Amino acid sequence: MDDLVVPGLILDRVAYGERDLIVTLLTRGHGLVSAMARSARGSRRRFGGGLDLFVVFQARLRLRPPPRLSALVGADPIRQFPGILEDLARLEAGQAMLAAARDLLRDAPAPARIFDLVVAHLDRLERVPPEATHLPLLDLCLGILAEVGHVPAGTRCPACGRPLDQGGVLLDGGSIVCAECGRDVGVLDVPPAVFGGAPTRRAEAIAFLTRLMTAALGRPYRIPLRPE
Amino acid sequence: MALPAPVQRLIAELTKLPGVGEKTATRYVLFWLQRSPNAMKDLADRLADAAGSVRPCLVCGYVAEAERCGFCEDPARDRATVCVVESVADVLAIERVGEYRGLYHVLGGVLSALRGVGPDHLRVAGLLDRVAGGEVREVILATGADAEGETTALYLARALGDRGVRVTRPATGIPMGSSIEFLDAVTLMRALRGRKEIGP
Repeated sequence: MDDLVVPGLILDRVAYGERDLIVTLLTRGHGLVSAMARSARGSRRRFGGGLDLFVVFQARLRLRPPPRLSALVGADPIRQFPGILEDLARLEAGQAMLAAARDLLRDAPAPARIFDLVVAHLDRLERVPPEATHLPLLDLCLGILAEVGHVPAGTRCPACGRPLDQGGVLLDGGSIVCAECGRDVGVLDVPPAVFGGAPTRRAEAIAFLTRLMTAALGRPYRIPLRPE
Repeated sequence: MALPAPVQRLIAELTKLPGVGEKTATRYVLFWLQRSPNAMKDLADRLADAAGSVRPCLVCGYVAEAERCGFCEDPARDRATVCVVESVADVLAIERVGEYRGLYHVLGGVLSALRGVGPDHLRVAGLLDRVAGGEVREVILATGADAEGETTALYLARALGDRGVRVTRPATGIPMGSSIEFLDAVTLMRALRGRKEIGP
């Protein structure tokens, strides 16, 4: 079988044996893939730093039908997020984003736009001030929840006041406006009404998100961010 | 015919070891069974001996036979410097270098939102207590150079920030003996961002 070459991002990784890693990748267009990365811990030769968190890479996967584990045989970095790695608040929020994506997408289809959504919000996380790192997390979770069928309803475009029940557009900088206001300047389409009523203050946002994720996943969920 | 139940249980136990699958575990057990009648009992005695006499050092978390480990009891070690590492294996790696003469603090892991590991799961409080004791002047944060290692180092740096100690982190970047041409983009980017000035 030919290798699948596709952009990917690590959502989780677990040490296996002395030298290997089992990684959970979010791939662009092929959803979540669990794969064995042989010698990923023992040698930097094959993967370098490509298998760290917050690195988008071109994954070379040898897919195998379940229950056999696919193999990750290459990971060439495409994009990094150094701004996340240098700040504790961004690192914590970034890991919370990856964990939420992993948990929400475990049994759900993940089309290419979800991959783009995650990357866009990591990009946004790099640029928000440390006290606002909960906002990309909140928006990413709402965006994924909308994609997988949990759509909180009702909000308005901050530019014109029009309801966003037909969806919106993410601007460079993180605002969501309606399609009309975001025409030609939007970087990503946002599904209908995913941001309705979500609080933006940190403690309230984390509490809101905890309730939302708990309801969506059907089990108690803890957002690993400090509320203050 | 299947192996007897005690042998199967032993094989199952050995597969919990890192890097040991069922085939390897079976090979180990058969080796011990075929070696001599007493070989397996000797092994069991050694295991029981270790289990009964070894524990984590109450001060630093390294392996100890008493309440305090050999490092913490050694008067020749520099007590003003504490090197914080993730695991006992990291202590052994640093000791192999022969360069470091200070003490250690074994965290027992790293902070990880993905794994649900918070400060309460690690020996963070013990580290802060040691520093509060007043003898420590420098804390070296030698956690891994990946996202979780950086998170842990930044968290500890902040926690130690107002306690009057020098907080340092080992250099990361280009491995000795390697050519820049063959470095991966992630390593090279971090090496460039961590560059330092050199003299004339």
